[in-house]
Amino acid sequence: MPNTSSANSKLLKFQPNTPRSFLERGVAAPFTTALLSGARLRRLTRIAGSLNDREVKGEPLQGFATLENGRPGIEVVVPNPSGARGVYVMLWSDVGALCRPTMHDVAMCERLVARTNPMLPLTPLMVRKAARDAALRGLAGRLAAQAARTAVEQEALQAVATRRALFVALLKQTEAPGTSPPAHLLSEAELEARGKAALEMIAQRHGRKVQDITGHFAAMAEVLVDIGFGEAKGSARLPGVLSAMAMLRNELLPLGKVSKGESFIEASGASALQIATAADAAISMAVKPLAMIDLRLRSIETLLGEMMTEPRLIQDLVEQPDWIADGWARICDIWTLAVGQGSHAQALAEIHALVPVLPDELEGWLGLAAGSTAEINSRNAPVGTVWRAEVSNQDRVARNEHLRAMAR
Amino acid sequence: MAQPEEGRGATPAIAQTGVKELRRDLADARDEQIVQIVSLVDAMAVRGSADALLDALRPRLMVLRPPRPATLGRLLFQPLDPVILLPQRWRRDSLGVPRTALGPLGVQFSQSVGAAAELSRAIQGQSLTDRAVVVGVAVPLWRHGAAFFATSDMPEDWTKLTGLAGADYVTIARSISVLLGEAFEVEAISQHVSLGNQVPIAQIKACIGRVADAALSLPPGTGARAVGMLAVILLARLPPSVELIGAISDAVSGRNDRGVIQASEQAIDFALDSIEIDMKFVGDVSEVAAEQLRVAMLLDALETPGPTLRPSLKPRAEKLRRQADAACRARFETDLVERIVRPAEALGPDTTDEQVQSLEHLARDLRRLETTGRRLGGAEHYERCLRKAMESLTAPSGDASCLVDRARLVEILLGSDRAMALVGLSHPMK
Repeated sequence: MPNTSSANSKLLKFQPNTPRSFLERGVAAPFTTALLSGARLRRLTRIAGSLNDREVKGEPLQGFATLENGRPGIEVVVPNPSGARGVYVMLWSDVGALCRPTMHDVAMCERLVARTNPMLPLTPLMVRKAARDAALRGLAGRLAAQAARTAVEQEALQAVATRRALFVALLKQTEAPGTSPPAHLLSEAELEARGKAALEMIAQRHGRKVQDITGHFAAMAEVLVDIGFGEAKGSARLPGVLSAMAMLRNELLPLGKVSKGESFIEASGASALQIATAADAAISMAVKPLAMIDLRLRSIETLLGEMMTEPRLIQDLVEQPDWIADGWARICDIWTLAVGQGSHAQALAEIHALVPVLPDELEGWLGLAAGSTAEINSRNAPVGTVWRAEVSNQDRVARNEHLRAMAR
Repeated sequence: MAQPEEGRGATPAIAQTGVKELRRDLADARDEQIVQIVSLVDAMAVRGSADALLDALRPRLMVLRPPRPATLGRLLFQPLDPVILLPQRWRRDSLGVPRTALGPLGVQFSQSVGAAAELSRAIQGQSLTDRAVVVGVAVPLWRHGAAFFATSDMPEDWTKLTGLAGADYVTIARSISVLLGEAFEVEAISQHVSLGNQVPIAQIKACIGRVADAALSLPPGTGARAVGMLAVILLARLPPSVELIGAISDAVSGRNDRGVIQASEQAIDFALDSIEIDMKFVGDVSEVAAEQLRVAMLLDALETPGPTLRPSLKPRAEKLRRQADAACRARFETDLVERIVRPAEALGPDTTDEQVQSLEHLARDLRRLETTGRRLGGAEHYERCLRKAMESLTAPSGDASCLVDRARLVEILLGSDRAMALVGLSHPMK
């Protein structure tokens, strides 16, 4: 095992944390290993070995690379342990040079390596599923396993509710006004039957095969589970994360207004204000694609027609708020846990260093002015906020496992 | 008026026969009974001799740590915690404040300072651990306390209530005044260090410097005592490292005041006395581990070659190290076998989540104790104990339904390397 410092320096690259794309930023992974707290995961790219190499900036993505043994390469992007700017990047397969990962983290990453399509980028959804699988095995403790089981059950219920809400909306949009009984009063079986009839009509009108239209409808329903639709919106995961972010912002804003002259507390106040500002910016950006999705769903028929030529249309839109909010659920949970334990200052110092950087790509997604994400990032960047609390590794692992038990 | 015994603060006249009997009965009380008694005493409007009961319970209260309501007196004197002594431990030349003095001083403050009533209302129903209380109420409270005790006069019933001499009032009140003047700074430094930051040497030296300056205007002996007491507080609130002891030493060595220098050295003796008297070998493992860590840090600092080295303390430090090492080893081995390995062997389909969590919690506490124990003495003992535990936890005879639970215990106690094979995982490799 290459445990020497020279080996570490070869395997662990320090890089500025200025990703141009969300793929380059990586997906926040719920690591339980102390040294990997807050780290992100991304695929290794073919170009120059790493997507994040400075010389690659501006180059289009040209696919993902595999390792010498043919296995997909995954990189870990670790926050600077000093709490200051910059990240360390290393291959997951080299992680042993930095630390001994927990069973949970090994199982999570092994699943990503072995059971995801190496030609597709890692997404927040993929990482959530891999982490959930590891938790279901009990590797992060029984509480985390129970939380994962609850999440699976909740997701199944959410899928049924979302599909029902979509059928109700479809019938309201396509059936003649006054059709009786109204869609929302139908039993599951009646709704399915009338919904399928509506989809057949749409297929006829667009000159498409019925199975193509029903396939796109099913795909749409599956994709919408995370953000919810209609009556299923209130219980969906992503709106829940955005609510938690809003609550965090509301709790942190007053802490930013501490009296001057109390130097150490003042530093925490400044962190609180910056985190609250960053949460606010992320919320306002995440709701834009959500509003766009709502708008498109006002005519499900038109949307299904568009999906015949652009099958990923709705999926791409749904992934945008997921990427924007990625990493914030853990931040909110760290805060909630700290409030319960009375360790606010430590939590502020930790989460300040975890505030997700906004990549330039977001400007294209949301039609923002060039340079606006860099400006937001510079406002929120922790400047030498050092967090080296004397917490032992096993205590940090226990805390991280507690966060897994809070996972949505 | 009869003066208390010379050189020693007498226990106030509350230790009457009935209380003595009650104290004897309480010696055998269960933990939950103790917590209940504390809560009853806390709820009394006039506590009188009930406080003497709590004095008898204090060693157990330090282990049990029952929740205590915030009161003005408790919050006012909270910064002095490390120097508050039971009356029987207090000596006139020690760097401490006898606990019996606090009640009358608190009452005097409340009756004399106009803002006290409002501050008292502000903390009603609050917890002393709430940071907002500390910032919002304690800071002005400490400032008022510092100002009041700088010039306060001895209450008429002082000796009757405390059993202390009249002259003790000025020494204690003025020392408290100076220490409360620095209370927020000490709190801020402590908070800063608890975040994992380096000990802010410059701030500590400045803090000691201000107290030493203030000492110049205090009666002979009182000022030096205040500096020594501040050093005791800093040693208790911050990691007792070479850097901290060096900072205390540097801050006083430049001053041409033999009394202040002696008082700062006395602070180290005070810290060692506290270890001898309060060293926790019983109670919660995590508390024992935290206490032993402080012991190890202080002993390491005192034995490190350099300006903080105190050769005169060597025999005492060695003895304390041996005691702490032996206590750590014994506690670790007993708890590992009795409270982890044996229950883990009995894990089965009926084992509840709570039972598993409790085992994991204890395993983490034992890791903490082991880390400290290795610092205090040899590592072989711990390795031998853990090897035996590993054999038992990985025995194929264990119930298969709890394989992951046992693997997690191995992961906590011995690391993920040895746990992975149990659940069919291996470390990432190229």
